[in-house]
Amino acid sequence: MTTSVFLNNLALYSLQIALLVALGAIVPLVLHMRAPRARLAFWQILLVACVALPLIRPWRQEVVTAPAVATFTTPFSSAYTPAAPLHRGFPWRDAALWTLAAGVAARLLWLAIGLARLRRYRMHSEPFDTAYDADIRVSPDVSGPVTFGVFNPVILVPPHFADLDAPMQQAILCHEILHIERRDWLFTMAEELVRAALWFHPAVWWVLGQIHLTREQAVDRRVIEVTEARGPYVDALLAMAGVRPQLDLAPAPLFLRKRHLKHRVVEIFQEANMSRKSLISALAAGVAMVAAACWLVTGALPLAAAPQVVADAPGVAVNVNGAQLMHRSAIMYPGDAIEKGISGTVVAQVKLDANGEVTDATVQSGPEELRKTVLQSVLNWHFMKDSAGATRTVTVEFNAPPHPPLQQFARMARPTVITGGNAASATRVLRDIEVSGLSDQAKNDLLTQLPVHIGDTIGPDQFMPVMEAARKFDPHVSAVFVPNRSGDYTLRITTPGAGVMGGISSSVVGGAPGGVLGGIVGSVPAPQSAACAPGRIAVGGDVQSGKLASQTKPEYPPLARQARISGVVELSAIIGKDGRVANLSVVKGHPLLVQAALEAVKDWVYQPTLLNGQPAEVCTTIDVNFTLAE
Amino acid sequence: MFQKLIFATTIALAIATAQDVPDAHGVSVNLNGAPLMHRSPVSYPLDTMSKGVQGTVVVQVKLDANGEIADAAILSGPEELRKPVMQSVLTWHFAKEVAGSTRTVNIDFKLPDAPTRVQRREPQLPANFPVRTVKGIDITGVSDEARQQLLAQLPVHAGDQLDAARYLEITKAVSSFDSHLSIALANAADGATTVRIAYGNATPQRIRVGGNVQSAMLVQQPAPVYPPDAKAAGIQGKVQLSAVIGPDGHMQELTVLEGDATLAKAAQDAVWQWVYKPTLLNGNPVSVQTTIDVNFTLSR
Repeated sequence: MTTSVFLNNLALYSLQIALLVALGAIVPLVLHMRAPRARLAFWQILLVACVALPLIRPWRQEVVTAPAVATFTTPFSSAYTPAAPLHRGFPWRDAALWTLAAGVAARLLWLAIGLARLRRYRMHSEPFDTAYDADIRVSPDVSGPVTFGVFNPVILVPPHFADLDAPMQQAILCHEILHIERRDWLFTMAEELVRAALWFHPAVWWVLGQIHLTREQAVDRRVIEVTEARGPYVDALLAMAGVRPQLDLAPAPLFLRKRHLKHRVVEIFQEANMSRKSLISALAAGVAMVAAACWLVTGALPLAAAPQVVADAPGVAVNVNGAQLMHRSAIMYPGDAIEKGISGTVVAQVKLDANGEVTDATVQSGPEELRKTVLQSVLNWHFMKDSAGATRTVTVEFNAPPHPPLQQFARMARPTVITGGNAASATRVLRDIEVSGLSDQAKNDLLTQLPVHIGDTIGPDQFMPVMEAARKFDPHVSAVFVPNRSGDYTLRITTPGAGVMGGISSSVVGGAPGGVLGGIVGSVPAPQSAACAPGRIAVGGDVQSGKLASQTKPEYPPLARQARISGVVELSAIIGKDGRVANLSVVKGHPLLVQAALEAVKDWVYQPTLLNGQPAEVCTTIDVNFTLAE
Repeated sequence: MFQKLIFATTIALAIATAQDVPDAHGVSVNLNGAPLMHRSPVSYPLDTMSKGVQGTVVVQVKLDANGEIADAAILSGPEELRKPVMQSVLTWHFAKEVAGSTRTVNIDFKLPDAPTRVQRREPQLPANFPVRTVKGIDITGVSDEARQQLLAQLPVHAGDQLDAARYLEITKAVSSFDSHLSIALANAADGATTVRIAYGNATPQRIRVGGNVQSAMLVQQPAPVYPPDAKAAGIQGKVQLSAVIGPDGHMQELTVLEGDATLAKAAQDAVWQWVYKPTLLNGNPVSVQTTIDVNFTLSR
């Protein structure tokens, strides 16, 4: 979480507390919580609620689609988060953070000093002889009775305590012994820790004050019940109020705080009692009201987790079950799975190597149609080193977005003619059909299924049926009509795997260097398109997108928008020495989106890439990301 | 008997390569009789090769109604070779006859006959690397936690002077943190520079160049010595080396891909001495990965 996110959350949290305490303050009045112990319980519940506010609801997490996470993406339609800008001038955020931390440290230090002081007082005190079964000691350092300790609780009384009347002594000691029995010191310490953490919040101080007051009032009530001597007890309170006030000892509650005197005396004389039944019902109602207030407040002012930067397809939610990722690739929602309305959760188990990279992945459960997309993505993930070597479970939820059936639109899609510009509209002779990447068997089957043959005269009307036939045979093939110089068409059918990886080797006799022709992109696992021929350097999409000189934004095809089709169109491009797009081919993409992507990208102009100072041709992959706003 | 065995192996290899898919050296795919429409090649990662990892990965694939892979799971095989198999197999497309069935595919990874020798040297930068002032550091494409951890580990801060040694330190720190990150300098006209670290191939540290293109950059090229033993035994043939040429033009990494063991050693010893002109991509020194063939032929 960055500083700004933290401070933002802290401000929201402070507001939540303020609202909750404001709402909570009315509850004891509304519910007529007359008995101090009812009010005490209520204020304590309210304090716990204040502390627990951030845990009540999941934090709002903004999902930022950042193309930087996808393998190669040219950012144009997605929100892009640049690196945090450099702050200029006075660093307000850092100053605020340091102030907060200093306050917490100061409060904790104060608590520690108080504990040390109590320890010293105890060592310098002398036993006080009474009939009570408690460790009562006289300390010259305290001005009023002080009780502290869990396992060896001790009551320190000032030297002038001995001068008081016996009934007053009895009343005061009874009060302190009740504190010990109730283990109030533990609660006091917990409250002081809360005060230290939220020292800056006045509402917290107020609630803590209320807890302190009602606790003393509750004990007062018990003392009078036990001793049945209201008079001497009030006298004792007044007597203690008369002495010189002493510095507040944080970790040990005083017998009396002066500002509480009036409230306590009034309470003693009011004798407001509640039956057990009414007490429980009032508390139950109080808890319900606090819970409702919490829900309201956290709903109105949600805390924000650091934004999640992914580029998953809409409807895909990833849960890495607590593991931390270095980076990951996006998960696509397969088009036909959306069409069929297949939703579900895929659980995959990934095995990580010593670097946190995925070495193996298996799907444990989930719909058949969604397994492949998860596996393909997960294999490229990179976890943080702290989960290296482990086996992790990744849960991916798919929720198919509702959309009208696709078939009625598919017919209307324009065919994809890549090269040749306006020549595509002419009627020409089909000179040749080139099929690459398919096995011989598959190639023959495909040729018999095509509605055109070599020698036919074809126009744009035939494009669509040919492409449909090819795609029906194998949805991975791309069929392209390429007009050539002699005025004929060549139908080129290729599969995505038809990349030429090796190339031609030429060698010189006698131990001289030969070499392999064919520039292939470095460190890119995906097979490169055959287009990346000798003399060209292959470069990742991101470098190239950084060098765009002019970029035409693709238009979202209205049909695709209506059908709620989104996704990535992957293009393989050759950028000429002048920086213009010289050749484009489709690697993959939805038919309804391909054309728009091609039309925009063909006009893009890059700054020339310089290899050793000379402009060079570049092969690159361009991802055009079509995302629909929700 | 022995000759028969060799014959059988050759046949098996011929069937495996009949599909004409350019798998990496040493990779052979056995589909166990399933007809295929098309498939992508299987790679044999170079670092796995240099670690001497070989073996057979057996993968079970479940096909959908179109013959495409719906699910795949590795049944057995070396850990390091599972990922390249999965990545390739998931994009394969089987013929419709076997659609809907579950198939097992065996993929053999075999190290070259010549013992895989890897020579490595720390990368060096060209001598004329200019000193610049670091204006800022940009890290993109990684999670916030990773960014903060990396920033804490980087031996550079805004305002520092960046020379060749420091730049190498940074590249080392970045690649040891996450080998997928790339680093580049965005130089301003006033001598300041911004260090850009990004996920992915954004700014390649290493470009791949065809052997012929790169051979034009050779400055110094001692010829290999024909090993007398090999000459006497009449051994000739091609040795293929995978080379990484450092940003300074000297050899940084050299791996034997194929060839006779004796010849490979002679070739590697010679090529290790070769020096190229440093390669600059958009003004940033980069290392170059290339393939070098050395042919040993006996003249009669």
